[in-house]
This record gives sequence, C-alpha cells and structure tokens, in this order.
Amino acid sequence: MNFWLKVKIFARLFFLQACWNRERMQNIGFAFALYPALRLIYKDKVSAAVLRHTGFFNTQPFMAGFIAGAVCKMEETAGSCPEKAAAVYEKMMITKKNMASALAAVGDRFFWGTLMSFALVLSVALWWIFGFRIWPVAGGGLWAGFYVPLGILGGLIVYNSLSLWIRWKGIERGYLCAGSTGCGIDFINWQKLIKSARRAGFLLSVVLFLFYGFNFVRQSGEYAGALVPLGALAGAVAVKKLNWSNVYFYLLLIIVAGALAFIV
Amino acid sequence: MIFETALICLAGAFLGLETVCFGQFLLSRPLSAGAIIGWLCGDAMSGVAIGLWTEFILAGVAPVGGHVPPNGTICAATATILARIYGLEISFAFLLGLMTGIFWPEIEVRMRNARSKWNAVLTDELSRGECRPGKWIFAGLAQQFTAGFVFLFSASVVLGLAGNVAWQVMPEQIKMAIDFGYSAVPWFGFGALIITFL
Repeated sequence: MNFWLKVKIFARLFFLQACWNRERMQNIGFAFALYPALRLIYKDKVSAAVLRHTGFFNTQPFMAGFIAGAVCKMEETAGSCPEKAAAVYEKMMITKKNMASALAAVGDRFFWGTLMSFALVLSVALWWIFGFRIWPVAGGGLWAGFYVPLGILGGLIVYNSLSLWIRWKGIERGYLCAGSTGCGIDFINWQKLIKSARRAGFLLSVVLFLFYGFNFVRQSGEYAGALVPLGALAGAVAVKKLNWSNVYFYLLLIIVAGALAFIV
Repeated sequence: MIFETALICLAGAFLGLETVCFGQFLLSRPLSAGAIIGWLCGDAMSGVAIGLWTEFILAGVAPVGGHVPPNGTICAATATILARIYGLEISFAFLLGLMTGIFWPEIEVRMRNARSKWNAVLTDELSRGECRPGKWIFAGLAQQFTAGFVFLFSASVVLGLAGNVAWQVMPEQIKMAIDFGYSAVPWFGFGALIITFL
C-alpha cells in the first residue's frame, strides 16, 4: 500500500461514524474510507466493490484501521486474480465480521474503558502539580489561565498520541496480515497495556482523592469532615455494586436532602 | 442574549460533531467542551468546573456497541450557558444541563433510525453505478450538526428563561438540596472515577 493511499484511508476513517445507523451501523463510513483503495483497484467498476461494503459493520472506531488494511489487501488479491475473486470475497466478509467483533471488544475496554478515564486523571494530576485545585476550583495564581488549558492539553496529548498511532499503524498491520487469525489482536499485548494503564490510573486517582480528602478535613477543622470523602467513596462503591448510575445517585441525593430539609 | 446564545450554541454543536461523527479526539469531552464554552461565555473556570463534574458523574459510561449514553458535551455546554449567559445558580444550571444531556439519546436514537433508511437509497444508487459515498457522509454530518444546534439552542433558551423563574419561586429547602447535590458531585464522582480503574 502506497503512502498517500494510506493517508487517504487514515483521514477518511475519522468519518467512520458520520452516518451511524441502527440497521447497518458504521457501514457507510467504512465504505467511504475504503473508496480510494477500491477505486484504484477496480477503476470504473468501483460501484460494485463499494456495494459489497455497505452491509452491516460495527467496531471500535480506532481499531477500524486494522480491518480496513486487511480488506484492502483482500480486495487487491481479488482484483488481480478474477478467477479467485468469489472465494476471496466470501472469506473477506467472514474475516471482516470476526475482526470487527474481536477488535471492538479490545478497543472498547482499552480506549473507552481505560484510556479516556486515564487522560482525565492525568489532567487533574497536572493541575495539582501546577497548584491549581479542582475542589474548590481555585489556585494556580496568575498563571491559572495558562495551567488549566495545559492540564487539559496534557490529557488530550497522551490520549491522542496513542489512539492516532494505533489508527495509523493499524492500517499497515491489517494490510500485512491480510485478515489472518489474530490480525490486530496480536499487534500489542493489549491485556498487559490495559492492566498497566488501569493500575497507573488507579494509583494516580487514589493519591489525588487522598490529597483532596485530607485538604477537606484540614479545612473543616474536624476529623468528622473525613466522613464526607469516605461516605462519597462508599456511595460510589455501592453504585457500582448495584450496577446503578451515578446520575441516579446524584438525583437520589437531591431528593433525600430535599425531603430531610422539609422534615427538619 | 439570544444572539449570544445562538453563537455559542453553534460552537457547541460543532464540538458535538466530534463526539461521534468525526474524529473522536476528545476535544468534545465535557472537560474540554466546558472549558471552551466557558471561555466563549467569558468565564472559562466555571466551564472547567462544570465540565469536570460532568466527567465525574458520567465516569465509566461508554458508547459500547449501539448503546447511546448521555451526551457529556451537551450537559457541559448547556450548564455553562445557563450559568454564565442566563445567570442561573451553578448548582441548578448543572442539574438542568445534566437533564438535557440525559435527554439527548432520545434524539440521537431517532436520527440513527432515520439514517437506516438511507441504506436502501445508497444501495440503489450503487446498483445503478452512481458512486458518491462522500455525499452521505456530508449528509450525516449536516444532520448531526443541525440537530445538535437546534437542541442546544432551544434547551438553553427555554431552560434559561424558565429556570430563572423556577429558581425565584422554588422553596428554600429544594434550593438547599440542589446545592448539596452539587457539592457532593466532586466527592462521589471522584470515587466513581477510582472504581472505573478496578
């Protein structure tokens, strides 16, 4: 795959979910991303090739590069050897489906479940280092206007450098492995990466929570003040255990506090 | 006020595109969106606080599969506009913003269902040899942007005007409860964030 074709697919994959629909999910976005490669292979017969990719497709958007790369390679094989085309298309559809679900499972856990929260904790940690406090929102002095965007930017840089790298490399990797077993899944030790990121995020957030909790107790001037962060933590654990939503917990707090205020 | 709201909502709707339709670089995450909208409203710090509490309260909520979670960008943008443009108490603005963000999936799901009908037209076009997939991508972006803007703008104006009246006539006990809920968000939100790593 030449460099410019890779750039085109990479850029078009940013629009993967632009036409997300209930019936076939990311199909139109995926066909749109493949279009430059299909046009190169099939020239004026590109419509039939695009039509092949308008069926159901859904994966984690950052992992779609692996599938796009693999599909490009398989389309190339089919285009260069028409007598084998039918068999390649059949295999391609199965590969696409299998890769999409396997990569979605890993991608959802890593990007949505871990890295997104990690980037947030990192922003809060950077603010803490700069002296900007989130509760109550204060500090940072005259430089707060500089530190606050810098903290946000820090989280964004970590998140995007990793996700863009995987999006870019995924196309190349997918093209090379052409949909073989484990294509994309064996790109990185995902489990180890998820575990390490979760461990780092957990430690960082615990340190920050302790810092803010300690500060709160010190400001309240009573040890009883510790009940607030501890109670909140217990509440968060209970919400998780009950598989409940934080939003409902927040609304419940308002209702209970309101009811108590009326009674007392 | 209406013109100012409209301009800020345009920026909010543009940011909202990034949540699902384009890129997903996290520029539209509540923290960044809150800071940007807050800066446009003339008070970036309120936007940062609202964005951060929105992140905390929505910690662990992810768009896995076809699930449409509450929209954090809409939450943060609406709450910041209500607090800074319409002068609502930040605790009340946050509550209303959150309600707006929770309501958004109703619209998102309808749009996704509507887009399903495009498949038949696309298939028909391709069968006839017409191949312009970019047209559909543009249509998807335009639909999302328009819906985002109309929703954000109408929610901001209606809640901004009605919210001010409601706050005036609201019993003190309820105001206290709303303030209490808002002050508790950083704590249990931080706790929820810790748990997402377990």
